[in-house]
Amino acid sequence: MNRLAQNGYVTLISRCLIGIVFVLAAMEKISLPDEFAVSLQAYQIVPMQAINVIAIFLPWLELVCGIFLLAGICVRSSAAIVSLMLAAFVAGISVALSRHLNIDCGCFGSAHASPIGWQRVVEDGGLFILAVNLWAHPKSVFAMGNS
Amino acid sequence: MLRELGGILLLSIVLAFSYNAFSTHGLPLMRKETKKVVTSDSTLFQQLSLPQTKQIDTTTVVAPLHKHAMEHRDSIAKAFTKKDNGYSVISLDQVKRLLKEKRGVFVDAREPDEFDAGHLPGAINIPYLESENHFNQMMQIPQDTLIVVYCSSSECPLGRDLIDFMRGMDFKKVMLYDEGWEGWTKAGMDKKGALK
Repeated sequence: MNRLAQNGYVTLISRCLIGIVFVLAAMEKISLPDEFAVSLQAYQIVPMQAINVIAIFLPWLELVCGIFLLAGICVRSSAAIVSLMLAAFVAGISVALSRHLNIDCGCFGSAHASPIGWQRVVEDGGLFILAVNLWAHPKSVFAMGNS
Repeated sequence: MLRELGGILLLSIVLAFSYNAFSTHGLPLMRKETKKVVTSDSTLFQQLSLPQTKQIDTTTVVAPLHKHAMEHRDSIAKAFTKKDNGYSVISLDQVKRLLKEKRGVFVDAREPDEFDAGHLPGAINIPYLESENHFNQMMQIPQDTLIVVYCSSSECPLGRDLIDFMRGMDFKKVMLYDEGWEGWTKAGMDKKGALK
């Protein structure tokens, strides 16, 4: 199992999968930040004063990490940041679901609006496991950097 | 690794705030509270005393037919980003009077399963999360019609989101019944609008 987790092609697939998801997720949020801010506000978790700053900053962090993972640059650091983001997404969606909030996920921007659900928690949880594995075993094939 | 982490964060911060500063969709750093404006009876019911009427199902609606939304259909998703006007909020008593006089179109912004479980009498279901799929249905409603949108409660954002979308379609008189379905049921009202 450990050998599989360290396999260069497995980590390559993880890098590509997480990278594509994060780049796609970032694009719409960057083009319509106010819609993302509205989605964030609906979770009722983030303080009002911090919502816009997060709505401005988070999509770019997703984009930079996504591109770095796809290119194989700073893989370990990018995977660490992505893991933290995914853990936060899982926690946020779980809290909203436990409070029976019927809201847009905001995951891929307002143009692809979809309600939050346990399916999304499972998807993000799966990506989180892949990202943690990438952090632990960052070496893979077709990477521009060494870590 | 710490240097890399710092570099990634710094790069993201520089890109994010530079783009925000120059983007036409840029946000202010501090977000304002959602503005809600209480609608007076005179404003609400005066709007309905226009001469032209049209019957949609059991509801009498007032105003000329919507003409331009179809031409701008592709830009609707972009157009509904303006939220600076706040939301005109109406009370339970005003809702009851509108229903009694069969005025306005009531729109439930919740998901279909919640709508099926119970809704305001005569309301139609346009779930915000599928609003673009209901574009043609909304096109059937004259743009000057009084629209009352509601969700499950004041904490539910879908009603406000749908209002923004409908404003993007140039609907002129879209009100929010902020207490929503929970407010309706807590007041002891049933689906037919009568007291239990």
